[in-house]
Amino acid sequence: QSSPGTDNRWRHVRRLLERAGPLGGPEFEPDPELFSAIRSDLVQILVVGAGGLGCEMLKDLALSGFVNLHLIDMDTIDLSNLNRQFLFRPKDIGRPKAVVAAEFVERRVSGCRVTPHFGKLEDKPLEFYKQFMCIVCGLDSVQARRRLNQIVCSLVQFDESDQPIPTSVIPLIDGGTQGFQGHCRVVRAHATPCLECTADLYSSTQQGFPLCTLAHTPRLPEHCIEFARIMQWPQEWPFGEEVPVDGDDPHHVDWIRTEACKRARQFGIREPDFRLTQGVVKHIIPAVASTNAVISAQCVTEVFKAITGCYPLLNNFANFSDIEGVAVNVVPLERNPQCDVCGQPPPKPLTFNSRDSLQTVINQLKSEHGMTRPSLTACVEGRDVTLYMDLSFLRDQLADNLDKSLAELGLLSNTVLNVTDSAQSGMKPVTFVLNLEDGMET
Amino acid sequence: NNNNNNKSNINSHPVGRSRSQLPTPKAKKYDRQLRLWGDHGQQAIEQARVLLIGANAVGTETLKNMVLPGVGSFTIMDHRRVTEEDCGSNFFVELARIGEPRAKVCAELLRELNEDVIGDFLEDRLDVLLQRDPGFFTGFSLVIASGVRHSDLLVLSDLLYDRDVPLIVCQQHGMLATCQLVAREHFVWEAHPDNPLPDLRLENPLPEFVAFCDAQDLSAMDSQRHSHTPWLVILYKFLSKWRQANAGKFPSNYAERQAVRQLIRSGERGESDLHGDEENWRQAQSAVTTALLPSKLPSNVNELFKLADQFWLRRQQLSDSSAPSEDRQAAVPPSNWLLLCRTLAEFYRQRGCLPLCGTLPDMVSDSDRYVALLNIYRRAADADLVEFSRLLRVVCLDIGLSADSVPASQIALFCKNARHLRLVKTASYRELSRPLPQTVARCLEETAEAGPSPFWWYLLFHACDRFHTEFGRFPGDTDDVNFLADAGQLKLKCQQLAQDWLASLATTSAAGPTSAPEDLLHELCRFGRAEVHSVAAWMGGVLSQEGIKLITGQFVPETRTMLYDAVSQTFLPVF
Repeated sequence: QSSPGTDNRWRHVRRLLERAGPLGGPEFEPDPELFSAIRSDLVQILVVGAGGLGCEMLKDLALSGFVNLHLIDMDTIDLSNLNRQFLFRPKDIGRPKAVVAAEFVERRVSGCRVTPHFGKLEDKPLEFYKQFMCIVCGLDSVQARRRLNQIVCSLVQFDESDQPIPTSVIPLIDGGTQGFQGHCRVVRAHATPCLECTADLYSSTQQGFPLCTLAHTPRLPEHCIEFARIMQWPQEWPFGEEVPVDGDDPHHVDWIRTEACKRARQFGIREPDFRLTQGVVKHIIPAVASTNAVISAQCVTEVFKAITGCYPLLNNFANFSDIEGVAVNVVPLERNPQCDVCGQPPPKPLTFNSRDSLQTVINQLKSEHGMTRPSLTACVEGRDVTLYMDLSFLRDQLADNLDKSLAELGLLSNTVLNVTDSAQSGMKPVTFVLNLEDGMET
Repeated sequence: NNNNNNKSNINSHPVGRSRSQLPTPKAKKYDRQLRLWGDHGQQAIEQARVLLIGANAVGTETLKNMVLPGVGSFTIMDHRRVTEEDCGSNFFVELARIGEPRAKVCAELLRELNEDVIGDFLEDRLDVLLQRDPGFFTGFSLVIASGVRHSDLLVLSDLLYDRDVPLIVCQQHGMLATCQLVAREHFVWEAHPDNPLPDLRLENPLPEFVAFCDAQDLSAMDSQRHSHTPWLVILYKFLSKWRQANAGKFPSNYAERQAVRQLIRSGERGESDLHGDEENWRQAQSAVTTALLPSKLPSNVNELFKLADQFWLRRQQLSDSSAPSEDRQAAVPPSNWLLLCRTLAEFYRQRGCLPLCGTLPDMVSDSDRYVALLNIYRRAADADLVEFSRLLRVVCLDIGLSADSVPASQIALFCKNARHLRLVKTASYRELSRPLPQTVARCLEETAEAGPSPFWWYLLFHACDRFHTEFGRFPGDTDDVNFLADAGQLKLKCQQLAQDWLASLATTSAAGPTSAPEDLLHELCRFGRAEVHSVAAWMGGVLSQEGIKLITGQFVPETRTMLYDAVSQTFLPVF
């Protein structure tokens, strides 16, 4: 007989985890304990973004049996979100997305704990990200993706033979949509391409019209709109001196539209309506619930595979489009050996005492690492700091640093040092990681 | 009552227009989707009535993605009660409501996603209602049947098929799900192709266009005007030059097009002037590949002409013969799209071309010449539209319909998209679910060594249905640790079914094995019809957009029987 409590409830998921099957992952071993294991404190999952994709991902994760979910998003809810961000209602407009989404899912799927974080990725220390067994993201900006990618890749640690230590590689599942198209991809740093390896895939949707077209030879309604926004607005400051364009303020948009229409009439061009105007000013990307549902679901299936090992992971990029028929295409993308983020050899450790001076470090770089005139930068308290530059006038500027101890300079264990050698022009920076025998860690 | 056939409100009363041009709250809410299917598409969605049979994970996920964009109304039919199991796969139930009618709970939780949407529910059993009140089903714009058994689907589809109510059928087993659209006839008004070829009429150029181009002397232009001459003018001039030198013929192959390209190249000034280099001349050269393709009637449009002609021929035959006047065919007036296609065929016969689209791609140019070109093409398109409308009136009056049977906005939409129109159709579920013996034989042969394939899974899904009919549950859907015991019976059902399907083939022994690979049998028993939520959500996303395509007549639906395999992340046709 079946056991009481939540056992029946999760029968669907437990079938996949407790029953042996011939088509499972290569090392998968079904086990009645697996289900409780995925609900233990060891399994924490981070969802980045609580918008069109994030809401779907949260729901899908909750109904896959996961109970320790974190959600980070820096936005508040807007009316135009409600056609697809289904965890929000009209009364929630203005509240933080992460908070409202967490409340809804906790209420609907009892037993699921969702911790919301209202803020940016950079607001969290690196330590925050270490706790997650998997990170899934539904972001709408290239910059945020790259930042997240850098965070995940920087967490990777290496063994003596420069191989990545598996437990330090957090799988990153990335989803993106635009209208009726989307993608889902699996990133395992150093095994698959990271997001930076294929940075050119994420082409910018910004339409940059040449200024001379806007100013002298407009042809399209869009040209008239951009002229009004870029050139007329800062000349007339219609809503106050130095008050910038707010694409969400309908009065701002309407002013731009009116000016654009005047210009359009002047040139015989079709006059833009409000929708087109706002679309151009805000670089609006069309969006519907259906595409977001598909991509998020695909991502969460991969999260489930990554954590349980029940099936092999997607290798490694899937395209989706349902404009004409429905097309799904899986492509194994390749790593970029020159990748700025994951193409580097792993940072070499430099072992010192926190009382040692910077000069000591430089001496070692010269004697043991083949450098002649090393220059060093490091990330101290979130800012890039130049420690020393062995270049003409800068040598004197930073000479004081040479006698300072590493502790005085704010350097801790695990600080990454970027080193270039002025004597070798065109050399890419080599990264080292500080290992202070007596020191505090970052 | 298919909304698609008689859309009378295209482009009128758009969702968002108000006197001040500021968007209404509704236009704001739907802004992101209005940019995809327009106000008229939204209107069609808001007039649609959707029936969901089966308030399971796939069903409710599909409906969710139709409620959010504002479908007019929905009805959920499900005779079951909410179980604990439902709470682990279905987002639209709650633990606190176990034991309540599932249709009721799901309807409430779906309705609250969008206050604009009306939703209700029925607890009737499908088979009972199909007998008792078949008329109920034909009142909907779209029916979605999720996890419905085969025998009921046969009756349901027979009912809906001839009434032109489209049906979406889907089944989920664990990490797998199949789906099929069933629609006798579905007209695609706006296909929204990715990269449509521009409609330039270069083979038989517009007189106004010729005059405009002839009035321009490239060699006499200063560098500003030379580098801001639209590529269309440049292309035309050198095309004419080539045609004059080649007895007036139009370039008919790659080599000839390249020859034109070379001529254009020879006209470039080459030096970089103070207005930048001559990008317009480069554009003219690359345009050669697409703008100089000989125009021919697209096959999808040709098909429509044939359909229209056949329909009119039959009408003629019926009215000529002494057939009784109750004959349905003669009595039923043709739908708008058929009237329009008939007119289009007539237009093509008379003019040798389709009505001009009227738009031009953007190109480097000064404002006055680009605008002038746009206006030339727009005026010509308007003239074609007037001519087309005149022909349409004649067609309508000819068969006893009023001259303005088709609203002006619909005529305009039709002409604008003339090149990409198509009729999409499938066989009935009855036919689709009994594939031709040749098809079955081919599929079995193809997959003999391949292992898991969509066809095998599809065959097994049907075998599972037979298993369920006999044993009252699905294979592996048991708490017994010996769930694999079901594999034997499933294998038998599968063999019987394959043999059934191959029955009429003389050489059944030549086909591949009719015995499903052991791995697949095992895997299906392992699933025990589990509703894995992320798989259901994926299918729900796909099916909801297919539903929207059917309701709006925009974008092209997928008509093949498809299988989603979340293990390999593939979505492949079964046959």
